[in-house]
Amino acid sequence: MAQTTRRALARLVDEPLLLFIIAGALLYGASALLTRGTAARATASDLVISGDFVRGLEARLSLRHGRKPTRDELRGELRRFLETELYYREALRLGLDRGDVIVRRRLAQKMRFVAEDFARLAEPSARDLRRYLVKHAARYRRGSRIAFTQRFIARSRGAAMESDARALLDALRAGRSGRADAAPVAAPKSPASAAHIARRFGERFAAAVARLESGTWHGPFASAYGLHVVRVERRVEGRDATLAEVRSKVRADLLADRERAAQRRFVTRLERRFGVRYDAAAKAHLGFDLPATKTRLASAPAAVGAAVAR
Amino acid sequence: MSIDRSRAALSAAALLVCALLVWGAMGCGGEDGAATTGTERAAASGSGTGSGTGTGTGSGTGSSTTCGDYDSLRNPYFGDLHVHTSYSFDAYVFGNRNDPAASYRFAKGQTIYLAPLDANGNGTRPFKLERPLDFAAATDHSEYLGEVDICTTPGSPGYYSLTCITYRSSTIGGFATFGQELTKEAPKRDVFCGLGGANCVSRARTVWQRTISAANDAYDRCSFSSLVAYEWTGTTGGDNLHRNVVFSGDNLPAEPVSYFEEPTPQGLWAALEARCKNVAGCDVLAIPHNSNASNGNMWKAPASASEAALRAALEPLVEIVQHKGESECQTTLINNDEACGFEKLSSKQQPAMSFVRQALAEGLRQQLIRGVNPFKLGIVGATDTHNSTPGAVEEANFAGHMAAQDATLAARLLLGGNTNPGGLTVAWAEQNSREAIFAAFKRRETYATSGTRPIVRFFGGWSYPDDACSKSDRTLVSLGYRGGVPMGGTLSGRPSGAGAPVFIIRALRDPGNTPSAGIDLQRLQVVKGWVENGILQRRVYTVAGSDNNGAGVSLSTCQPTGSGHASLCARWSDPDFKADKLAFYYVRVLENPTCRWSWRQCLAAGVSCETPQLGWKKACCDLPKTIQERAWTSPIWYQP
Repeated sequence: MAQTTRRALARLVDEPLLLFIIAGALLYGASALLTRGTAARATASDLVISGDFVRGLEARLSLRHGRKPTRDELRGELRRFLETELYYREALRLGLDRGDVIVRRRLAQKMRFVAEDFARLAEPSARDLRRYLVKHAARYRRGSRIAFTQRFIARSRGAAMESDARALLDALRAGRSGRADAAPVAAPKSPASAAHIARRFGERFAAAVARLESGTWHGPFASAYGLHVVRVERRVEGRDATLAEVRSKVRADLLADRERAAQRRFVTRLERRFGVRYDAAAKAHLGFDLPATKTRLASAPAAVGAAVAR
Repeated sequence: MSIDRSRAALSAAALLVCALLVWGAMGCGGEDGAATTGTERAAASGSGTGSGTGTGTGSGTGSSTTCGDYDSLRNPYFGDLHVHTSYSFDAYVFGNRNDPAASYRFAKGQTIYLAPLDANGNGTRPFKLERPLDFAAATDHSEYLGEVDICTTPGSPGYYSLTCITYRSSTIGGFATFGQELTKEAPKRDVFCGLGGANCVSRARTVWQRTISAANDAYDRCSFSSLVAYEWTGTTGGDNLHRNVVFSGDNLPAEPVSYFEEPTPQGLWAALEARCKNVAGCDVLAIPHNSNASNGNMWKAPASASEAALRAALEPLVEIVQHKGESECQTTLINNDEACGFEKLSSKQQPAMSFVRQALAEGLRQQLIRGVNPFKLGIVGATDTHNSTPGAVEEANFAGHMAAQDATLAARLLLGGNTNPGGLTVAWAEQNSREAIFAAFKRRETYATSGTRPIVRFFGGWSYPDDACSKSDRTLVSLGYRGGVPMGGTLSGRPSGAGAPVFIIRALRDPGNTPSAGIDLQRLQVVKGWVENGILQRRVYTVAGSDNNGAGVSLSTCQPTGSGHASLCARWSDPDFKADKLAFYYVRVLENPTCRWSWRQCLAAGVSCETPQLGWKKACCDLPKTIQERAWTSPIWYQP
């Protein structure tokens, strides 16, 4: 029994419009029953002002004024309400809601909110998270890290800086120590991330040393401070992240993906429901007849098509 | 099972709203929201964040392993502690639709789209950080968190209130309606919030949970620290008394403190103490900002020793620079420090107590009176962006402060020429984790920059070697820590026979190679403050470099001319030291001049100051065309 109910509810959740219509019908029925006495002869389009409604208006006015409204104020409020309501109904009757860009946008927005609420999804399981992480491993990858030794030639050497640095490199490669200056920034002793190196030496330097083969002297590499001759001592290759390291990020991304997918499915269903089609000229203009661009445009053309159809 | 059931219930609730809309114009038509009670959209969005449990969930990724970049001698981490997103009543009404999650994506280097909005309400200006940040805090105004969500979520009770309709339809009206309440001594929530403001308070709780979730989701331990925060926006009588409230821990309060509940700083502190400081698993700081706009009221003398102690415990930092100006100091008849003429929000003379240098000195005087220094302030910087763009501080790429309101070059120059892209906070921490960075805030081991990224070390001790400056980086730093205290610390227990305290200061220029990275350094200064016969005293010493290095900048191309220093170092001892007097010392690092953002944009607009077109003269030709980007360190205090 519970099983069946659950399945039925789950189906309903998947069919928002159906649920929507059922709920509307139920409410209509309930209200018709409740207002039977006073509205016995009322037709569906009659506007019946109930005592409850007037009391509601009064409560709201009391909040606004900080006191109970006078009868005149209450009547005035009701009149304003009625005027707006009557104009609104007449506008609907005349079809003024159609072709109005603001009405269209507001209704579409409301529907989007409703659809979003349906897309709120259950908490992903550990298995879901693991699978997602494996599938998008590159996104969460821990970058490679290096530790290096440096010898430094300061900017203050001026014109000789470049040749001094080259001489230093040659000396180091020949196993001699060469002449260097005190470095203003220390090289990381334990393997450091590219971001860490960029913070101290600048982005260009960090990119230049990232891929160096270890064990031999390279350079010179420029920083804002001068020229550096570098020997990579240790490299830790990049690796995929473990779930423990990135769980909250994976969870957020997975939920966002699912929500987007649910929205896309919903729009696709609507496209089918409303029969979005393209004529040959539109297809040619949009390039839809080319195989490469056929994907991912599902929702946007649907909206355009609907507007044009109107 | 329970998930399915609640999901179905929530769906039904959402449908109810909609069904009512379709079926009975009676229910949702016109201005009345009375018929749509009990269907808060936010209630349907609690997926996985445990909302409604009374307390928020903090850092979910509580791994305690050491990060690869861990360094016991500490790394400089760059961040922004003042960021407004679409959750802020002013940012939203200005046209910002990027939420806290988007602001964290931006901080990490991803592209977001800024106002103006297209027909579907999406931003149209792609914008991206040249250099991502290491940490950030979205600090939305705690006031109106609930109201904004109600006014912008169809189906909320109150959505059709006059206030909400005004808020949605008019930028100025919307801003003024909410903003003016924050200047009153007894602020009240709008009537649409229901009795006692209950609807808005409960909605604020939901939005606060979303704020916490966004920060937790964005946290990437070891590479990016997102901090949970909000801004308390007390503006009593027009005085800016604003504070950013920044949290640490995993047992955070269920709701933020706003000006409605606590319309005084004292009330804010008491609430933060009761709801966080005294609660296990929660820690908190309040960071005052824009004292430059406080009419001298940011640093009022505490009424008692206990107030002074509470303030000192909760407010160890001050934001010295941001979009709406610098608050360090002002040039006056008495103060001839010309470097104080930097990014002044107002061209009018402000009360002396509107500035941090004065507050630091007043703190010493208060310490003599109360036994506690209530203004023992470390220094941080921020943007205060209302564009959800933490760290967007480049002069060459200023996208504005207020979303659609200053999205064009003309609007930026004509409306906000005296504002600026803002600054950054640098925290010296062992690694990039929430705990390590928050600990750096608490010990004030921080400095502010006006946007560039120079790297500044500052230590005080009694016996640093004469040749400290010739030491290599790590040797100098370990000497610094072993022989004394870093920026933010207090030098006490002067050894008998020791002379004046000795400071070592080393600044490296911004190492960046990006187009808007900083430039060579010009000079290092030490600013000292003390109290002499009850009178506040300050003195500025230039300790390395010189303002006369021949470097400049071409006003027609903004290309720098000449050069300065790749690094500057000084071992400095106070020549005017008095062993019996409390004192503070902080460092100011000045870079060579560069073009101010406004002049760059005036050049782009083709403005010439020989014959300025009408309207452009003030922003382009009266405001400074060049600036000197800079850093301000937290002080080191001397305690006899």
